[in-house]
Amino acid sequence: MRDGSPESDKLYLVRLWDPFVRVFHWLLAICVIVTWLWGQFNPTGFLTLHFWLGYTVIGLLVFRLVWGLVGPWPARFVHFIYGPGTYARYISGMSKRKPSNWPGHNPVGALSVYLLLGVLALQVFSGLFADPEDYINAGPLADDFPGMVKLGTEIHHTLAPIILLLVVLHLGAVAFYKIWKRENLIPSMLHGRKVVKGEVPAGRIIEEVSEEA
Amino acid sequence: MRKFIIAAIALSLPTLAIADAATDAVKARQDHMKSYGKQMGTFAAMAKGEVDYDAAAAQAAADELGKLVMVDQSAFWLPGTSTEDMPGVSYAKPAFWSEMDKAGAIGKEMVAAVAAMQEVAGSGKGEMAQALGGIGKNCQACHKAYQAKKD
Repeated sequence: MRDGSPESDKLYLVRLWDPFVRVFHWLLAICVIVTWLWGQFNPTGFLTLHFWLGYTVIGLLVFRLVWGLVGPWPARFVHFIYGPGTYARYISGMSKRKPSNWPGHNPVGALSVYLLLGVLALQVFSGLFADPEDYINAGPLADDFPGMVKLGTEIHHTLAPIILLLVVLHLGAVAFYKIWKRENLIPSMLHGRKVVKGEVPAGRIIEEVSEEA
Repeated sequence: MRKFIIAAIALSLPTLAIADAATDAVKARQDHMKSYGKQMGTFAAMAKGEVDYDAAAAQAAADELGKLVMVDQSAFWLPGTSTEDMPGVSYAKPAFWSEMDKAGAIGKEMVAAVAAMQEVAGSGKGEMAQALGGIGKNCQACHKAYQAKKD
């Protein structure tokens, strides 16, 4: 558990996001967007693609769960659980027009990560039991667990707009950091490197940087 | 005492008859929906590749469904047979009766979608599957709006 980003710390360019986390992130983004749209608009009447992308999301979430336990430091769940003091300090400094240089998921971003992963997990799980009543498509477990169909369908339909909201919030936060705080988070999720301050493992440091680029 | 019992029975008979008619109506429409579902199952199994596409079987299912959607349903949807009137028996929401025009519009679309299916059911798996998607949307639209979910 670290302190809210101290002003005096040196800035380092570090290898932050490992390749697996980055590939996970973009695959998840593509799968969620396409399967969400397909589920909403169902252009052909067949949800086959929606189902396969949903299964892919299950696989991705299982990977992320494992990676959150055994993966490298910034990907580990324990690394982005923060105490109330850290939250208070981080939030009070959020309106400053300068980069956070946070090494990993910042306290507020961490909440978004946990929430998104949790909601997506519930969404793919409930989808297994959902039945859209079109007499064509049904979740693969709907026939085997008829008692779960009502609840599964309700959860699946209720969470869809919530997922949209969480994704919009996520994009809004990225835009806020880019425009207001002048910190572009997107390249870090592409090449993995980020300018940060605070404690980082020595092996991750590429170089010390004097001033913000 | 006996007179009283006879009188009670005599008085309750019309009520029983009405209750019976209501139950019959619910049963009739539920059976009718199951017959729709049966034809849909035939198409869906072929479209999803669970069974091989069979032009004759698909056309037969389409023609059967074509007959079913033309059945006069006025006796199925008696007023007073909503899920609030007959909980545990009926699953039709009261909104069905207050929005008959909307429900009827879905029914008309369904009839059109089934007619389209009758034209293409025998001409190939792709065409059949496309027509099936069109029918399924009407099943879903009506159930979403007017069918209470079973626990």
